[in-house]
Order: sequence, then structure tokens, then C-alpha cells
Amino acid sequence: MMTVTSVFEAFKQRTADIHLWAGEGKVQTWTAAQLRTQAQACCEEFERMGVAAGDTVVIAADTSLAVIACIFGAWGCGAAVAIPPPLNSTSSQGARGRFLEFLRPKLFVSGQADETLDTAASPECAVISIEGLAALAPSVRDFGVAPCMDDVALIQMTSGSTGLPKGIGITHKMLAANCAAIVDRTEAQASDHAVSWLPLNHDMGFGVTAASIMAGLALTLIPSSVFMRSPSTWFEAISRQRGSISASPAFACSLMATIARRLARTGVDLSSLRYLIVGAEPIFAAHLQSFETAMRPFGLRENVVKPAYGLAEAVVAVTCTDAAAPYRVIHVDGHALRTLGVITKLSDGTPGALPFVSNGKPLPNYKVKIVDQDGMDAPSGIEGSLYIAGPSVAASYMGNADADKFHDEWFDTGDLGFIDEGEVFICGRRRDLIIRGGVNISPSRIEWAVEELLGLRQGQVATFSVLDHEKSKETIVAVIGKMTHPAEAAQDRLRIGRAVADAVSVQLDHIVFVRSSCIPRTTSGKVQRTRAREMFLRNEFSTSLEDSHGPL
Amino acid sequence: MDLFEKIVSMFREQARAGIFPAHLEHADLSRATTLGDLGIDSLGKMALLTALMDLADQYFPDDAFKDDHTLEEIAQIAGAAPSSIAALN
Repeated sequence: MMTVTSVFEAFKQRTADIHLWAGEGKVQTWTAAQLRTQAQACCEEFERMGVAAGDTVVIAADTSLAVIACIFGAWGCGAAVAIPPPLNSTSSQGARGRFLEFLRPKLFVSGQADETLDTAASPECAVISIEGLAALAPSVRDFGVAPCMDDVALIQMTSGSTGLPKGIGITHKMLAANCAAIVDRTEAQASDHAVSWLPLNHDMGFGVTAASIMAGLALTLIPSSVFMRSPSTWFEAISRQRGSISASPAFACSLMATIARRLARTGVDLSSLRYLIVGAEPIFAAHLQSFETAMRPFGLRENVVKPAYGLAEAVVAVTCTDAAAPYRVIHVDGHALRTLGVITKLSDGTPGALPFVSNGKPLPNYKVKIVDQDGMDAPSGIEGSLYIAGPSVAASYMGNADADKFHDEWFDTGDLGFIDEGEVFICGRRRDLIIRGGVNISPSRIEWAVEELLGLRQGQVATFSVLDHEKSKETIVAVIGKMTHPAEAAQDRLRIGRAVADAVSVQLDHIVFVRSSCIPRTTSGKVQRTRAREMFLRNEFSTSLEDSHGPL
Repeated sequence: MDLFEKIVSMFREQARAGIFPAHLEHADLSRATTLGDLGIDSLGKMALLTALMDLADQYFPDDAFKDDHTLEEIAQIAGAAPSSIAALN
């Protein structure tokens, strides 16, 4: 059905309306023509402010129709856009400063009229508020340029494990390729209506929005702040707009299942939903099943939930479940997996069997493979590192950071998994990254918060996460090199848990005190989080100091 | 067992189940302990809201409980008649 070759071209030809669901029944609707003339006005204003091809425009505002116009206005100048996470406890002014220093933008679009910038971090950056852009008179003048397919459209930021920003330059060609593949797999039609609450700084949020525009779908966007304040707005919007396609990190499915009783008060009807992409973090069968059970009374049909796998380095999606087929759950011998890395299928209910959810097959033109510890391609039935390749997979990070992750056409995702019947299953993570609520969290930020609270020198805390398939949870652990009297340990844990929740907005599930010498480090003194995770799983820290965390 | 004790018991049970931080199972939780002191994040707070609705058998809005509410105050809010909840906030 698609005849356009880029998201920008699709936007220029768009005829479907776009809506902003602001909660409490308030909906703002712009026709495609209104959005286009507003984007053209943004483009003119950006050109007047000196934005040109190759520049970067940073848009630091929550989702709104003006933000969408702003993105296309920047593309109409040949510029790239970058969208930082909102300023809150998970993203401090310091992190924002590092983000801007890395990007050196030409223009900063602020979310608030009175926002100022640290000009030391970005001396040549002009500032304009999103309110100012929204107030521009629409323009009928066409965009200044048509961006080339090899121009960078979007700079996606990923903090990785060190907390320092890494940028991925996504060209219009990469964006279009991934959007086209998503449209193909979801079998999106002009009659579909997409609904998204995901923030545009999140790869899934940007990807779903871009793919919907590429396919010419009607689109309803919910500011993520509205969703976070009241999650039921997501399903209220689907119900009222007759949404048929949506996407969500796995946590939101669990969340919606837990608030099902409250949903009953809203009278939502999910019968229009036909394809719900679930990804952005580990997916557990128990969560999907409880979500489906809880949502049946609200009209959720069979075969709507579609697990997917992806990451920002591929724009967003790499695998996704077929529209026609239900997702598969297989049961694997947990002992054989843990000790040998071998996939031995068992029937459901067999003692020791762990359930794994399929993330579907690779999208058209994408490839996946499993690589063993020696860097060799692993045969089927073996757990190993997941490598991906495809037309939207980045060839490098900006500045060539972490070059060892790129191997010709292949990208080493850092995730552990296996392939069964051509479908991808994720078992764990090799890279030092924590994912909570669909958001990537650098373990360094948690470690800094703990070290600061306790006055510890650097390298005394190892933070990591463990995929606990039995509890269907990604458990976050901090191992702290500090002598603690057992009588004080309980109080210390409360203080630490609070400090981390305040500083990073994440809860520490397990806090383990050990002697400093027990924390595994390299010869240069760097904390070895992967080794610490292995020791934790083997309960090797339990004899170190004051208690046992017990086996997970 | 009064509602405060039931809430503490719920925290310990949910900590054991892996919903809330493990250390809450044995932490010294007093009536003056605040919600913020528990170190739970926004997802944990959603789980808490649901658990309290089950415990009190009544509906609470998403923003019914704030970080500076003590467990004593949470017990009061949870135990109040629905029409009184706004006043307690």
C-alpha cells in the first residue's frame, strides 16, 4: 500500500488527521493540512534563526501537535532532530548539559517559555519555546529543502552503562526502512488508527509515530506525562478513538492488569484493538497472560498482543510477531540453560521448566544470529549473544564509540538469547544495562547515588540486574562494599533504597553488603558488574559479610 | 490487627514476593515511616495503590498517596469513607 519512500514524503502527502489526547476527555485535532502548514511555519522560523542542512535541533518538550510540526519543520530545513528525556529525577540538569555538549545543537526548543540554557555547554545555540512555535501563523510556503535519504533525521541517545551519552545517527533511509518493515509486519492499512502514549525520546515512541505517519494512519498521541499521571487514559483513548494499533513496554501491560478494577469505572472498550506491540524490555509470559485475562472483560480479542524485540541501534524494531499468528511460549529446562547454556525444551508443568516468550521472527530484510563465547556462529539450541543486521541497523555510534560492537553488517546487541523455529527468545543480558519500565538506566547512576550517600570512594558499589524468569521480573541488585553491623543493616538499606529512588527513580530490589575486597574488579580497579552478577546468582556474596539474599 | 498493621503486613508479603524491595520484608516500618522512605519507584507505587484498594476494598485515585504521607496517614486515608478521602488529602 505504501508508495512513499520516506516519512517526510509521507507527511507531505498525508491526509489523515492527528489527535492529541490530553486526558479527561479533552482531544485536540489537527487536520493533515493544518499540521503541514504549521510545520512549514516552523521551517521558516528555523531558517530565519540560522538552522541549515546538517544542523541539529533539540526538542525538549512533551508530546504535542506543535512538537510533531517542529520535527517536520526541522527536517524541512535539512536538519536532524534530537529529543532528550524530560527533566525529572531520572534526567537531571547535569545529564541535560552532557546531552547538549555532545550534540552542539544549533537550536534548542524548550518545553517552557522561561527555560534557559547553560550557554557554556552550547555557546552557539539559539533558544525558542514550543509555545512560541505553536503561536506562529501557519505558512503555505513549501519546505526549504527535501532532505536527502542519507541525511541524519534523528539522533537517538543511549547512555549505555557508563552514564555518558552515545549518539546514533539515524538517516531518513534507515528510518524509512524500519518504518516500512513495521508497517509490513503489522499489516497496517489506511483504515487503522494508531494510539501511542510513549514519549518521543523513546525509540519505541518515535518509531510508532513515524511508522504511523509513513503508513498514512490516523494517529492519536497521548503525552507521556498524562499517561503516567493516569494510565487508564491509554485505554480510554483506544476506546474512544477506536484505536486498532498501539505499542507499549511490557511493564505497561502488567500495570494495566493491576488497575483493571479501576478501568471498570471508565467503561473502556478494547474490541477495536487488533495489534499491540509489546517490547522495550524483557517480556515474561505470566505478565502477558495476566494482562490478556484482565482485559478480556473489556473486549480485548484473542491474538492481539504481539511481543517484539528491538533497540535504538536499529531505529527500533528488529523482530515482531506475525499479525496472523499468536505469540509462542516454550518451556526450557532451567538447569540445563543455567549450567550449560543449552536449550532443552520441556512440556509445560515439568519441574524446572522455565517459560520463554517468543519475540517473533525478524522483520523483512532483517537477520539475527546467535554467537557463542568464542565469537563463532552458534547452532540452534544454544544460548549466546544476539547479533542483528538489517537496513536500519547503525554501522557505528557517533564518534565511533564502542566500535567493538559493530562487526561488518552485524551489531552485537549485548543481549543473550536463542533462536527456535526462526523466532528470537531473550534469556538475559551480557551488557551492563538495567531496564525498568521500558527505560534504559545506566548502572553508574545508581552506583554514584549510593557512593554519594554513604561517602564511599568510586568502585565500592556494583549494580546490575538479573532476569528472574521464575518471578517474571527484572530484579535490580546493588552490591555495596561497606562493613555494616547487622543491627544497622536494615536501617541502612532503607536509607539507600530511598536515596536511589529519589535520585534515579528506580527501586533497588536487593541490597547486599559485602567487604570491599569481595567486589570483583579488573586489575585497573574497574568494577566487573557481569562477574558480580554471576557471583550473586551463585549466592557467593552470602558468606561475605552480614546476610544471605537467598537464591533468586 | 488494625489497618496500619495490615498495611505493614502487606508490604512484607509483597517484598517477599518480589514486588517491593526485598529489604522491606524485615525493615523497621513505623507509623512515622513515609511512603518516600520505602524506596519504591513509580511502578511500585502503582502496585501499592492496587494492593491498598484490595486491602481497603475501595477505589483510590492515582494520586491518592504522596511521598510525604506516613504509613499512619496512608492507613487513615485507606480506612476513611470514600467521601472523606479528598478532605484527608
